[in-house]
Amino acid sequence: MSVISARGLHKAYGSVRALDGLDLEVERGRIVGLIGPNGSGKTTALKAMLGLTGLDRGDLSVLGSDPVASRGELMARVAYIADTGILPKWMRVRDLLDYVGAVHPRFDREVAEAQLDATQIDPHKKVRVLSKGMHVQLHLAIVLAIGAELLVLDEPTLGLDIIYRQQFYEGVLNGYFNETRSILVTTHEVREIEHVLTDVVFLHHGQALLSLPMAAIADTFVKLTYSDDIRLPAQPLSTKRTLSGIESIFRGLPREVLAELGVVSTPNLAELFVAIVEQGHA
Amino acid sequence: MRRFRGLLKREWLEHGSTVAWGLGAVFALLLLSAAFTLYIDGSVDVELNVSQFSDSNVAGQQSDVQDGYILGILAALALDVSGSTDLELQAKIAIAQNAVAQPFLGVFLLLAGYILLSCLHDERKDHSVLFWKSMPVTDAQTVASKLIFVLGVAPLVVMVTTLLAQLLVIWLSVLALPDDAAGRIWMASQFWLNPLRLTGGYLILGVWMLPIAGWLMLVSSLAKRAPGLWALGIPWGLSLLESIVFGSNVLSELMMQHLRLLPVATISTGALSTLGNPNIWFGILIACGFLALTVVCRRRYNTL
Repeated sequence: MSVISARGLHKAYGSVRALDGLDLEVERGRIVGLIGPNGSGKTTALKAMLGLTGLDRGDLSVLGSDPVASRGELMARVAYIADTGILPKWMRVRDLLDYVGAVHPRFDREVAEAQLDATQIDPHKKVRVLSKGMHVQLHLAIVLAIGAELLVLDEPTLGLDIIYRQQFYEGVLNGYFNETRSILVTTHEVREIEHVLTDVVFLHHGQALLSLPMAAIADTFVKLTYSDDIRLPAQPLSTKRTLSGIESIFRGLPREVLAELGVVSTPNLAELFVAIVEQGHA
Repeated sequence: MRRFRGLLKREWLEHGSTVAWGLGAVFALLLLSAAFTLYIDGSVDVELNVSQFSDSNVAGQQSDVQDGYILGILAALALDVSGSTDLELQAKIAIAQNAVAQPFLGVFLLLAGYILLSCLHDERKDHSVLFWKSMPVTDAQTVASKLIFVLGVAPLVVMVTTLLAQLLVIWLSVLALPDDAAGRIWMASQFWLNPLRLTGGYLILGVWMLPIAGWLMLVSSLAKRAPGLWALGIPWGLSLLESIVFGSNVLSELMMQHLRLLPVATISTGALSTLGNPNIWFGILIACGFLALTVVCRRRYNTL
């Protein structure tokens, strides 16, 4: 059974269609990146999966439940870190741990405290005095101590410096992820998470333009870098001039066919996203 | 149960200091004024018409107390103990104890209004609503915990503070009296009945407050800014609209009838009769509607 199963999700805010027939599957033991520009529907999709917003149409199941109707029970199995600091700033760190311990059946306080011991966070301090980086560390410590089956991350490292960003993803990978758990993550910093994803979904105008395992990208897409105008064997998804020459990205073309025309490589996610969006606009 | 205790503790952590400061200020002012009057100023000169006291109309004195509660305290402190019968003494002390309870009731109403208006607005304002909603707690449980904190937990704290203040005021008055007179005051104070009186009073008050609490929470869950203005402005605007369009005042009359039923802080014949008024039961129905809508709005709105 899929951890998340979404079919034809539609959600509009007035005349703006935030989700326009989104299909998505997340299996157990996968780390799925939801990649898209601002306004592509990423946050709306995540909120729908967390039961924070209803849908106009479509079928959505998270861990086998309707997230809106069963949000209370579902949140015992799902954890969430948002793009803005959402921890209550008026609370002391130790009181926050007390609260989560009281309301969350899976919370293991020892795990949380062990995580915090490895940081500079003073449990007696109020959340409001913590830096943005500490704020995220604290939230991560809580999430790791919950051990949810699904972790939803909405731009979790926004505004953090590179050290905290790196520590964050290391913490998620080493402290949380295993073959029984799943992660759904959205971010603008595509390059930063590219190496940790098992699957990627490109979202644009509320639709999934592409959805496939990371391992399939190298088999499906090829980037050709060449110096002069040549006769290309197929219509590329996109072509652009760079300092190192002309780069074209192809879909479904064997590498051998292109190898004699220039340098062949696998496009990164950012290049691929731009190419696919451009093709969609063409 | 453990979860609900956690929710109530969360409310206490957020609002406890507000409650403590409000009650502490009233407590300090009461004791200071009593001590000053008795031991420093030394000019206590209050006359009560003791002939009006009888066994059945002690509760009836509460209207006088509301008009001038300090007068009640001073009257108790200035008791002519030897010239009073036990019944008169009992009536005077009852006035003093009620007089001590009134400012605590007043500050409780102010604090309750403030907390109810801000509880669901502030969590959207600082985005913490997303964290609260990431916990396995339903919107109905959240709304219920906030309501029970204001109408159940906060009154408990107010009652304990009131009892302490009543005890201290009587003790202060006793200090100035000879031993035999002091003994009569302690006996006449029937102090052991005060917890019962206060509990009954605050229970009735809670029932009376339900529709107001429901309304304030609904506004708190909906308003993008200035929930206080919306909470007062909407009923006022609707009443005005009714009078302009239909030339009637049904809505404003209903609201005023309910407000006029405000029970006093201690149980009495007057307070108990509040429960017999159909307006109270109609108010409970209205409260259920407001609270159900509050749960829906809390589920629906995550930002301002």
